[in-house]
Amino acid sequence: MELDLVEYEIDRDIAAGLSSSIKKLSQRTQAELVVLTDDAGRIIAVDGKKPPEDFKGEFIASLISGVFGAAVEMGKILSLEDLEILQYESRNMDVIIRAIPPRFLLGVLIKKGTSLGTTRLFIKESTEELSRLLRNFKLVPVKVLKIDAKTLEERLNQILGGRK
Amino acid sequence: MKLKIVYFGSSLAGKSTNIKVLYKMLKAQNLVKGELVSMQTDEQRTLFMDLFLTQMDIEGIQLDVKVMTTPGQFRLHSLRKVIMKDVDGLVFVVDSDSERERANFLVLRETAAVLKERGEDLFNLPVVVQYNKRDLPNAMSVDELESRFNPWGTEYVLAIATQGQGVRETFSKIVKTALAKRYAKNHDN
Repeated sequence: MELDLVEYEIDRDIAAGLSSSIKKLSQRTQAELVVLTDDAGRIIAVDGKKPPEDFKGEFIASLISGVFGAAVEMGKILSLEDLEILQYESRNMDVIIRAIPPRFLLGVLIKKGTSLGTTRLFIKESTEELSRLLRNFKLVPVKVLKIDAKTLEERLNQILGGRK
Repeated sequence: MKLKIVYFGSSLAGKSTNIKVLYKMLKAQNLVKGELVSMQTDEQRTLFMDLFLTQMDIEGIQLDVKVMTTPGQFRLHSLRKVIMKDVDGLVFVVDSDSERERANFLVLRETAAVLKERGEDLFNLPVVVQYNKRDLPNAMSVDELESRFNPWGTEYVLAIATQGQGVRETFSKIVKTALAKRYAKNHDN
């Protein structure tokens, strides 16, 4: 059986809009890190004073979605209404996670001492902008790999087995 | 391309062992990005998840795979729901120990229920079954395990994860299966 493996990316215009919005929020809040992710932890956009390497952004996105998802489940057990914002504080950092319906999350990490009220106001404004952009969120095909299932398995075995 | 692969199974079936052994193997080949993140209790039991990222190139296409486990303990049901969100492929790690037959069954039933709550059908997802702990003297036969724990009729792998046996093969099969299901426009020639 031959397969056409199709690689998708976020629509270029939407991706640019999301990145610009995240960058603006990052600058206004002086955030260490701003991460936009979906609720399964797939990173969509990231910015901050020191943007992390790709893989660290992926880890943080996973943890943001995990922490927020756990809090939502806690709310369900207690029959509370849907969670919109989750905030926690550490000695050196505050973290705010905001839900953007239907299935996205915005995580903002700021240094201790930054005004939480102002940060939350900026987050609220960004959420409205991001929400508008995400309403048109779509993935577009960018590359196709034609390969049959047997060759795909052999190729994977070569890569994973260390035989290139 | 990005894939989220989750290993699920009963408590102590060997999910974390699979992930740790796989991480070491792939790290030795420079196929991982960053470290293994493991959230465990003091008793070395998974509290939330184990997680690592692997990246490979298949004929010019970059494939990023996020490999995760669920916590196996029954009381952590809510956390399993969180981790199962939008999963692309599942590895069902089955404990071959005959005394763990009921635990294997319960986790299969619970996972189906968790996914149903999210509007997904466990039996339509890409799955590979791994029969782990094949070195146990009281291990169930493969025929018995197949009839009880492979309702998909999907590929299975025999493993002794603590020794690395079957770990790489399981991962290779689930990546292939998930890619074919999630990213392929199939057509028979």
